[in-house]
Amino acid sequence: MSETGQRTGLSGGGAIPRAEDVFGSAPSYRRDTVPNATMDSDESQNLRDLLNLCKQSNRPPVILLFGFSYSGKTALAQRLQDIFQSRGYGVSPAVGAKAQAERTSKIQPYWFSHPRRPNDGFILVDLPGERFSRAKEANFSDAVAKETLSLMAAADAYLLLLEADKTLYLDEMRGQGMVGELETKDYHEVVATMVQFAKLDWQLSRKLGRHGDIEAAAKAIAEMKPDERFRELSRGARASRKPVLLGLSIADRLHDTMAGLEEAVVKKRLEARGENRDLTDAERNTIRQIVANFDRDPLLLINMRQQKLVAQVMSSFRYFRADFLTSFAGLPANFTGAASMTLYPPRGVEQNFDWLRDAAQRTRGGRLRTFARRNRILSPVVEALDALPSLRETVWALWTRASWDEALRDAR
Amino acid sequence: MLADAAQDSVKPPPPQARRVAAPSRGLVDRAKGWLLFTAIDGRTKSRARGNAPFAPRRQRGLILAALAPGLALLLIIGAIFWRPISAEPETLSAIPIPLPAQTAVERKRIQNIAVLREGLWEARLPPWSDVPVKGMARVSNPQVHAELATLIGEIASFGDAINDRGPPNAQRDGVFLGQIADLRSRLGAVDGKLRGMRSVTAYHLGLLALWAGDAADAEPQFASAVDIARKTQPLDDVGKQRLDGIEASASYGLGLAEAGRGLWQKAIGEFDAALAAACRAAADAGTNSQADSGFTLTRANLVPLDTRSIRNDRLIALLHARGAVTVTSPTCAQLLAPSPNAPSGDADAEARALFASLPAAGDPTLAANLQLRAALMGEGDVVQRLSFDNADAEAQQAQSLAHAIAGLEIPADGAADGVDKSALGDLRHLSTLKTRLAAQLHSGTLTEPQSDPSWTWSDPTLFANWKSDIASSVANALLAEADSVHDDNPGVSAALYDLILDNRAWLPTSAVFDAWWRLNTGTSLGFVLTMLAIAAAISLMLFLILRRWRQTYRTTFESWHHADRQRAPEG
Repeated sequence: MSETGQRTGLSGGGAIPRAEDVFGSAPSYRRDTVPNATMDSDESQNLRDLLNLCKQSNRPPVILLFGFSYSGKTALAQRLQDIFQSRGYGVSPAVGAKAQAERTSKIQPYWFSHPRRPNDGFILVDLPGERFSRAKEANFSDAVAKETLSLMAAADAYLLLLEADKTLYLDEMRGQGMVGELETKDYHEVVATMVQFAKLDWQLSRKLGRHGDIEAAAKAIAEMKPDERFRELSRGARASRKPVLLGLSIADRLHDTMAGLEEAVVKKRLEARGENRDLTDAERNTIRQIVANFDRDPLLLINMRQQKLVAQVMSSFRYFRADFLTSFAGLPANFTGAASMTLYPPRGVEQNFDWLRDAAQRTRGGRLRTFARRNRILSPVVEALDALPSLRETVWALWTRASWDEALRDAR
Repeated sequence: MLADAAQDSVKPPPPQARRVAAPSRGLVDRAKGWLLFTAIDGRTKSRARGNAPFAPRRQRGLILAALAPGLALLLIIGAIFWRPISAEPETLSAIPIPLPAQTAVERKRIQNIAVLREGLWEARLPPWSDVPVKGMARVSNPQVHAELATLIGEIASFGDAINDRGPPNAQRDGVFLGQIADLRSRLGAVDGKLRGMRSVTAYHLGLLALWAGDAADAEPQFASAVDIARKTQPLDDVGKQRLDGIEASASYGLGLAEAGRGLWQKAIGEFDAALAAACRAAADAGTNSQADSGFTLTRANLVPLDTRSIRNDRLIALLHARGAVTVTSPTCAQLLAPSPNAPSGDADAEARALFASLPAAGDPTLAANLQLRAALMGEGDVVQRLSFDNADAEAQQAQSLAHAIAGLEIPADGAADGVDKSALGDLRHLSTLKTRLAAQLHSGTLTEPQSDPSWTWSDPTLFANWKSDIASSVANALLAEADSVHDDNPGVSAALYDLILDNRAWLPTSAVFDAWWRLNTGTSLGFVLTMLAIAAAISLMLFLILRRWRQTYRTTFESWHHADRQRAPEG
């Protein structure tokens, strides 16, 4: 609710249901409440099928959706299912509506395929962050860790999902009592794990290149010393060609609380100046403008708030972008019914995912490149070609903007 | 605004960690920032600072940034090379350009006249009877040896009957070809018994194929003979000499076969190899006698003039280049000496050099060929000078044809038998026009060639096509000459350019414009067009790079979530 008493939603002032309203309350992330990540037989079979498929030269690209509990992974998967079903794709297994309200810790692959365009298919793999944390705690040596590493090695693109409000305003939320001490600490851990995930990718690629097959690479990672696994990309080494989308999810929740958070920020600034007064209309207008345009510059915003994470993504990956991914965007104001995603498809989610999918297909290449990459004689040629600079690399855009925009320069 | 707001919302850092104010940026950095912003971003500054949507996005900066390097290159090139000719044009006493020997129109007409197309051939292969059979044709099986000796005797007799000629234009009737086919089949049978390992059979099979006009079949046979001769290890000096003789003869046959197929470059190489082998066989450098090699180098062994491409002149020029010796009696030392002046490839220039230096007296075949060549080049004086009497019918016919083309006489009825009369008439008219044009150039004038109303052309468009060809050739020669004397004598250069401009009515428009351009800028149009193409390529490449860069920039910073919110139906 805004201070004027009107519900201000993401869709130009209309109110939209929050994730909690539609799918029930989302408890805060608590690491100690995560059940032990063990694989049931279905999950294990799914993974085996997926990893076997990854050995084929003409397999569809694999997109790894990585995020912690209640970051909106399953909701995003359902949103993507709706979007792609409206484009004629079939999804197997179907993402059930109930699944969103559950706290999933399963590794779940979703197969998106088009009946008339077999080359346009792709696989979306839902990898809970807890599995990665568990693998890390197990020193990457147990079966779960092996599956996690194998999935990372097989992935052609990453979609890293973070809760928008906690990612951008964690300290402010804690100041207002919206999150507790433990939850704050846990979310710091979440972001740190994301950083480690990004760091691990290049070591995994290196091992994969040296050993040739995924299982041997996973074994080599398990045998490494813990500090080596998360070492920075060595000087002179080329970053990974896997495209990465940093998704700031559940932005509707952020929007509802952002005005209050911004007000608190302004008040804190006034107090620092020694002024103990209420906000003026001009200051409230400014806050309203900020809130209305909060999503204009997501890359700059996340760069300022999570410098370590963005710096790691920048150094580990050559193609990346950041954007808000609100799976519930587009629903009408004051909506209280069941979410009919096909009525108001959020084009932003669709565009972002299309970018990720196209980039994955482009960097992965076709059957010829896959064959050449596996061929002992031709693989150095492919590696040399992969190492060549490309104008699609995000660093060109960042360098260009930093040359004239002091905000980005200072953030870096 | 958002950035400011976002920054404001960050908790103030502790005092000890306060960031020192960033140093002011240098001029270069600011210029780089401005350039990249203008070329890549494409939004207004205020919209870009708030990362507003990219639509509308201006293209002006992109286009200017892409064009700037190309334009800069053109400006630099212009500043360096823009040198208009300011000298007064001189009066020309003669126009120092050569006329083209043959235009495309003439070459087409020449194709209709066999003697012009092929020239007169005087190629004589040394018969095997001259090459010592002793030792080379010995076969262990006495029956086969006797059969082979008989067969070679028959081939030698047949060769004597046709004067050992194997030119491509020899008369080959059915009886002639039947006889050769019989000899080839019998020799082929003997060759089969000998398993194809004998140079004597390979050589004669090649010889028979060449007589039959089957150059493609002759080539591998001669090549086989050369190969055997080169790989065989001689027991003594006599054997070595014989092997060299075989190599010389077979190489020469190979050259003839290749010449018959039109592979002149390879043919010249084989002739050269034949000369070298013959000299080795002659053993002493002074005499070049027949000795035991069986190969005598005389002018008769040379392939005479081929009017299609004058490549045979180049063979003679090859001999000339080996020490300016007379063709008929070079010494082996001269022949084997390195060539100080190899043929340059300018066939017309070589032909003119031959007209001046080659003694053709006593050699009607060579003289007739040179006359034909000179007539086609419009060199009537040379045709007159090379005239001869008392030659065989072929040479006399060729001479008559050359005289007719040069306009020296009307061919007698018998002289033009078997010749396409319309083609001959066209060539005569064209030769007359070329002679007139050459006379004009010698007197320092140039006017448009005019067809005589009394002339009848076989094709109404022929004269116009020829005039177009000759105009293009003359214009190019004038431009090249003006360009070459530009530095030393700008007055002559200006006069030559003016000559082109004065004849703009019939010279090609591109050449006229080129002359005007060169006169007023000092640079050639081709150079300018090349520079323009390079500048355009640079700009195009830069445009494509910048466009891709802009797409990456937009993909990186565009917020699709924001655009989605703005497009939402309830918004």
